[in-house]
Amino acid sequence: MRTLIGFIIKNYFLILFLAFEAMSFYLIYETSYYRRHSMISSSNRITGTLDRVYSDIAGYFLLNRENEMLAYENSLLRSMIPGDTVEYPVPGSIRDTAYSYISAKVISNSTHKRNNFFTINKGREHGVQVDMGVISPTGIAGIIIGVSENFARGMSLLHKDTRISGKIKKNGQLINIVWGGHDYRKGKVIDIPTHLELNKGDTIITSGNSLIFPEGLLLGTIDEYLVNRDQLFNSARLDFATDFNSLYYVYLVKNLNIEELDQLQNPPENE
Amino acid sequence: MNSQVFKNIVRFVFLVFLQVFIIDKVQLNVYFNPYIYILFILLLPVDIPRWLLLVLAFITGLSIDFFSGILGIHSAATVFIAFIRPGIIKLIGEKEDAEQNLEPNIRNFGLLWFFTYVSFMAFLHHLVLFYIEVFRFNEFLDTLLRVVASSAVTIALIIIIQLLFIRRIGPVR
Repeated sequence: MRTLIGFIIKNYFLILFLAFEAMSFYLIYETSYYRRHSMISSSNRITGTLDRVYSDIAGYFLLNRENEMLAYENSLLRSMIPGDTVEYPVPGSIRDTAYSYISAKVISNSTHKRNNFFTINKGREHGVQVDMGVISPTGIAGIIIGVSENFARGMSLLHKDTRISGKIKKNGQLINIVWGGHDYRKGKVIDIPTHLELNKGDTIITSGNSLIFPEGLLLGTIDEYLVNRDQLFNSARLDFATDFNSLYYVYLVKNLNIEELDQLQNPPENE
Repeated sequence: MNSQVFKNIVRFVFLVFLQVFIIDKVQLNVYFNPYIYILFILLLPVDIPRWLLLVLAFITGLSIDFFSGILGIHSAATVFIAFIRPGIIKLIGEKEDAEQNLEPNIRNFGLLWFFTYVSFMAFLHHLVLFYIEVFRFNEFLDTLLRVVASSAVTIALIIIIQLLFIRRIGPVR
């Protein structure tokens, strides 16, 4: 016993260091995308207020751009009124009654890290829940991972763990979207079967398989098709439909059937 | 002693604020992400109790983490440089004639010494930080490039901050 205490006293610096590192890695594990939990929410409460003050000040300088975005979106919505035009630019988002929508404002956002997050000014009070999809006026933007009373934090598509199920609009083939970490404008399309031909400008939309996003939301357009000679799947560079650098007003999408679908797909185990 | 505690609290608040609301808002691209808040750990007195150094590093890292998406990344990297700090100071060479409770800053230790010190600490901090952030090895070279580019900016910014604040007090030795 005495030698043990002696050992601890002698090496207390190393032991304390390892303890702090262990604690840090535990926190990383606990708050990472795969196990999002209440800890993110508590940090939200503290930083959300500060972020809002910052956003209120910075917002004054961006009013012009925000107006433009809203005007653009108005035009999109107008075009969805039946009888006005035939094409639905953001199909599914209005007609679909399986989803409900909440509008929100982004008060903090980043695009220059390997893993990017944003904070919005709506929280539990307004009906925001973890796992809701976040869409911008032009495309999809991310997923909510933490909610506090008045704020919520979302994981941007610009994240190493992003994997969005999409499909090629012209032939309905399923593919996946990831982010390579270089440019906030470019995503990567992976898992493209080799027999498919893709051209620059082809549209990629959400598949609706994920329960988070409705089917048919715009993800982006193909920038360059990359053929890997010796692999099973090809890949492609994607121009994101969402401009992550000017993410101001967003909509949160809630799948009203998510519990039922989740139960159907992952039935609770009965002994 | 109390004035030193007060000075460090002010410095802590200032650096976290500068990092979160100014530096992090300037979004150049993924290769230039300076983290100047480590200056707080760098400037703690040479003879600070080593347990206190680790505790302060953990708190500093966690404060920055609160403003980013995942907790634990900055605290892991900051605790790491706090752990190696005594070794690095010994390696670059302590000033024998100097009092032990000195801050290792430009004025007390000279520009060259401070530059070497910041370079080691910033590079190692960023190395740990960016690799934990990516958490995979298939982006190895890309991440290394990120570490080098960001450390360079961090080092330059920290030296500029030091020169700005030192001038008020007296000439650089």
